[in-house]
Amino acid sequence: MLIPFFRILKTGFADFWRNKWVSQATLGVMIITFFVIVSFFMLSGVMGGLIDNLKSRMDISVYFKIDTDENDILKIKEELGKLTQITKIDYTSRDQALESFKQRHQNDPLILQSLEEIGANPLTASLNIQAKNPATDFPFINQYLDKNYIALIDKVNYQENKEIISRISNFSSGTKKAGIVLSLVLVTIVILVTFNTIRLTIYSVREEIGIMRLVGANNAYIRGPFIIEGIIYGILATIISTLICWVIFKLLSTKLSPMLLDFNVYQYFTHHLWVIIGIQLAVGMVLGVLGSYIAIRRYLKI
Amino acid sequence: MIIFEKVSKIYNHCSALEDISIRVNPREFVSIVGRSGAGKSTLVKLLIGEEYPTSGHIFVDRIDIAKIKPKLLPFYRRKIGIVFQDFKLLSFRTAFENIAFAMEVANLPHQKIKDDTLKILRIIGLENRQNNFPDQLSGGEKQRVAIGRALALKPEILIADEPTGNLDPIHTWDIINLLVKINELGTTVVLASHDKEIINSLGKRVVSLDKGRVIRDEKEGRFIV
Repeated sequence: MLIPFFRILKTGFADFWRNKWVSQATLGVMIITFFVIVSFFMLSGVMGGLIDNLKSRMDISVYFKIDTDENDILKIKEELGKLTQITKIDYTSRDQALESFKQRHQNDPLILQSLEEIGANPLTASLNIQAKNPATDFPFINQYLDKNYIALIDKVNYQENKEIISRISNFSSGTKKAGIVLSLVLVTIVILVTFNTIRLTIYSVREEIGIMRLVGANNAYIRGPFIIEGIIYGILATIISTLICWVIFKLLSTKLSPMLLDFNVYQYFTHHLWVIIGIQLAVGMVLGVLGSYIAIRRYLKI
Repeated sequence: MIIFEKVSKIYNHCSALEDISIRVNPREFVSIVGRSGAGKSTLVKLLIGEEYPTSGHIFVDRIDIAKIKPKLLPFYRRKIGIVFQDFKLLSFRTAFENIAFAMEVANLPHQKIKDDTLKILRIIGLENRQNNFPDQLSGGEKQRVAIGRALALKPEILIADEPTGNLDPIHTWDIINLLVKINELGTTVVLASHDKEIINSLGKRVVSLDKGRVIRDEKEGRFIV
């Protein structure tokens, strides 16, 4: 049992090495397939990261009446902090608001002069709130504030931003779904292209398969080396495409980061490296082994 | 012992062989002759199990080969040696590996394969060319490798289907002489050929086919067109 197995293993490696032209062509197609798969994996990660980033920048601001006591505001902040929907809540006092306003308009003497003429601080204290799921959580928070603290609140800017928040949420979920469908379609296409390349590879050696049958080789002995070759394709393609992706993402990461709202592509890649390698190996084994097995069947009927 | 018993083969309403009955005894040298299209290659294909007869029986050592299941055919083919007109060598294997392949599929031990292959290479005179691939060999050398492969498992029967069809006259006689020598050593040889000169010089049994039928079967026959 072991002797035929080692012979088949040796033959598989030898055939892969000797049939260089065909091996390189098949390997090339497989590397491209894996590169496409990894690219779509990364794209979905980037899109997810961008969308999460956008969501995290969505917030609502609660402006309190000018005579509201700071302690009351801090109590409200504490109460709101207990809500599970809220991820972050920042308090800006009236003085902080004034400082911030002066800094923003430091190059506008007219505004600064108007502020001086008013004399007192016209700005109010506020709470800035971020939630896990803006589309559903903000309406809830708005209702909660309305119900419990309407007497102290001057304005909540949720209604003004409601449409944008809703659009961003719809865009993110739509993008995710479209991304999944597009990925599946394109990955299926490249997998089919690779499968056909393997079939063509085996077609090109159909005569050899016939010769082996006529000399007395059984199906296992004929099929074995092709399956070994399929495994070699899968492993080599995984290694090469991973290396290519590693180099590309490392080089492009610093350039892409500002465009992607500080999303670090290289970090995402290295963080998910084992998943990426696992997916490629799984696809490679299915393509290489199953592809070879199915493709060779029709030539074993002599 | 090979027995064809009222064997017919029909392809798409066209009769390639009709009512063939031939008996080949052990250690005999039999030439199957006829013009192109007479049915020689069809007869060889039936004998090696590449095709099944439409009717009749073919017995090789009392086994009806038409009844051998496809997955068991490789075991039958290891018992016979086959040589083809187009050599049918594995292009990505050396001369040594082509001969060794026949023994590898029979699961022989590594050392025995190595020793026997070297012996066969010496017999066919290609010891110095053992590491060459088929495309680096001449036609005559390729056919000698093919014969070497056919003999690897020491078969009792050697079937040669137009083995000199692609060779020049010098190599043709080399191959024929080799086949005669193999027969003298005890192997039954069935040679299918349309080369009149070779057949007439052998002085062996000749079975003549014409339009799929046996028209002549002579002990010291000649190829009469």
